[in-house]
Amino acid sequence: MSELTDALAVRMRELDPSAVEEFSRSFGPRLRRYFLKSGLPQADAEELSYTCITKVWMQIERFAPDGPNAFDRWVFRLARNLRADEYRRRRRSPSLGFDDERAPVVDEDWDTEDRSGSTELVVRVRDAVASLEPKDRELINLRYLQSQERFAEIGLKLGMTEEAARVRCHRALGKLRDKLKDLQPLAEGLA
Amino acid sequence: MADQDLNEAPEWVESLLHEARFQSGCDAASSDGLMLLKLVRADGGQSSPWISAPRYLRGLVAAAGVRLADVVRWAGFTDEALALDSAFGRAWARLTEALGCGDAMALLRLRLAFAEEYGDFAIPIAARKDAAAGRDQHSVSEITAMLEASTADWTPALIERLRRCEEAFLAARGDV
Repeated sequence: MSELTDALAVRMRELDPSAVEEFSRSFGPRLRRYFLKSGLPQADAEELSYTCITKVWMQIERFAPDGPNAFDRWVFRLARNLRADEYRRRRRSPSLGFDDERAPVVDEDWDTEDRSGSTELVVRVRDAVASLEPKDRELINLRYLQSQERFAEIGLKLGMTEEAARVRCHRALGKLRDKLKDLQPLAEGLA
Repeated sequence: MADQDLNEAPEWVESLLHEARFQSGCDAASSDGLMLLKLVRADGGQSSPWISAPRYLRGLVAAAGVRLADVVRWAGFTDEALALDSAFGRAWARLTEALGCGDAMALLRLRLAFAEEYGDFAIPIAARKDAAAGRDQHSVSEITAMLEASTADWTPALIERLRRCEEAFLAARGDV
């Protein structure tokens, strides 16, 4: 995998559009795991993963291959620095709920677990949502995908009561369950 | 809908949706990264630094071959009209920081935008002439002095808007 990711870095530097998803799918879940292990809550770990992904692109010209796993090590060094920045920010703002005892896990414990299945997962979920009735599709998008709105807000947008939105959402999830049931083992591993 | 159906909340489906959302977020972050890298590279080829913020941004976007809408969304500008309000100040701070543009230059371009809105196109033109003559270092203070002189003629409303915009810029940069 390391040779592949080093080659990916070259393509990123060449502004190759096909590197966009390849990079995010290869590193996104690994970065999130890294930030979760360092003690950040799920939502913050995901936000920091996004930040790190963007930052890698912006600093890609500074990357210089220096041995095995060079790109992986470089990306996770950036992640460690971002985590340290976040650590300092949280120390300044105790209201952010910083867990002091778990915070300084910033060693280079990056992993190389293959995430090649993630692209398929996204495509399957998108296809399944796309096959729903328009109103169900919009509801799932508003609740889970494009935003994470409350049922009251969704109801207002879709012209129904909060309770009706909640019930319709459950039904839509049931339809998705039937369309995606072969992914259940994978999904339960994610939970 | 029967009660038992509602109790069968398929949590694993929600997990799948959450994962799809996360991966889409990663894709968007990666796409934004490519866009910013293009902007940084195009920024190196800009002919004159003495351009108002909106003109600079439009020129940069065209040179980089990216969509203005994407830059507007990423930085947080209100819309593609690039109205000079507080949101513009915050977004301008985020964008110029990403591009490695220092506070002084970014603020100067911001003030030039207000000068243009006021109708004082002489300042940017004079600045560009100075820059063309290779007097960039001296021009910073000269242009600032010209701007200050021009500001005296501005309406109180315009001056107040500039102040709010600059405050938003500085707050976003973490300077206040």
